[in-house]
This record gives sequence, structure tokens and C-alpha cells, in this order.
Amino acid sequence: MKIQIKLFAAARELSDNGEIGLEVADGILVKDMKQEISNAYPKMSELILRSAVSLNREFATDESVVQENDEIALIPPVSGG
Amino acid sequence: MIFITPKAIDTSKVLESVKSQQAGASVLFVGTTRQFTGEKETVQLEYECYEAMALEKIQQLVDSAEAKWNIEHCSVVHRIGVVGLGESSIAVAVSSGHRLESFEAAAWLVDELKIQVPIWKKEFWTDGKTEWVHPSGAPKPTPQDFNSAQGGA
Repeated sequence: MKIQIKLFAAARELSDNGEIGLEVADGILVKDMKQEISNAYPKMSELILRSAVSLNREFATDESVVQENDEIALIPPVSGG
Repeated sequence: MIFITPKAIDTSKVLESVKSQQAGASVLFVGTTRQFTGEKETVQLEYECYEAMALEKIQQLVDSAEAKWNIEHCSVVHRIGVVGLGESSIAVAVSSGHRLESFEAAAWLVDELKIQVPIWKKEFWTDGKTEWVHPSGAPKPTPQDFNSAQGGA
């Protein structure tokens, strides 16, 4: 299935893009999706390891299942406030 | 009142927004851009956010604060874009019948926002370097029980 992942902050700058598209297996787990992003964008690998993932604007776990049409974002460690 | 804005925050309006005749106390927290961090000197900060999620997360935190403490009103405003030295990046105001709840809830909201809300700052140092602040070893945001919210994986 085709997925779109929103990128922010250092991840956005490292990929030179606010959003990336990937082709992944149906029912992929978040942890495996992170590996796929890392494979496609090796410069982001270290940051990905330290980042959370959100699915439909809620933080997911590594074992969460990614569904087609999920709103997906890579959330590097936050620094608001 | 909860919003995210690229404009300068009117902190007195944020405080005003929580005033009520039922509240004997109100607390305003304002975060501002600090000039020195250790030996490094800041020119400015720049904030970026995942706005749709940030607004939802802030609302969830406000809802949690209202459930945990007996408070009257709560407002959170965060600025994005460039925030210069001494300018405000965040304002959190809480009111309550008595002062303890306002102090505790305001502190909790700021602490939780710094862990849970998808907002990031970029440092612009006087030596010309810039860096996104992605702290290592910081507490991690709490995932929802996503698979059960989906109706089971």
C-alpha cells in the first residue's frame, strides 16, 4: 500500500521535504515502517530511532498497525514551550 | 482559549481570558526566548508545529487538567515562527477558587506540553550555527492504546 508520512523540524530538513511517500506491505507495523523510512533516507536514521510516530494525530506504539489512508507523521523529540 | 499563532502573544489577554468571579486566584506562565544557554548565545528561536495534532493534544491536556484539579478556566497560547530575545513563545493561564490548584495545574500543563505536544524549536546561535532542539533522554510521549481504539488488531 502507498503511504504518506509528514515530516517536521530536523527530519523535514534532512529529507528536504515536508512529506514523503513510500510503498509498504499491507498491515505493516510502525516499527517496520520506521525501518523502511530509514532505508529510504539513511541520513535520517539516527533521528528516526529517537522519534515517535503518530497515526491520525495520536501517538502510536512500535506494535501499532499502519492502515491505508492513516494520517502518518514522524515526531522527533519535541521542544515546545 | 487555546490557539497557535505566528503573531506576538498578548499575555495580558491570555490572563484576562481565565478571570471569573468564581475564581479567587489566577496564574499566568509565560515562556520567553532566553539570551544565554550555558556559554552559548541565542539570536532568536524559531518554532514549527504539526498544528492539527498540537491543537488536539493541548485540548486533551486542558481536559485532563480540568479533571485532575478543581479549576475554573484554562487558556494555552503558543507562538510559531521566529520568536526574538525576550519575546513570548507560550502563555498558559489558569484560574481557580483558591491558589493551590492554579499553581499546580499551570505547572503540570507546561511540563506536559513540553513532552506531549508536537511543537519544535530551532536555535539560532550568535556564531551563525543553527540547530533543531530534539532532546535526548527526554520523557517520551504517551501512546494511546491505538490498537484497541481501532477495535483490535
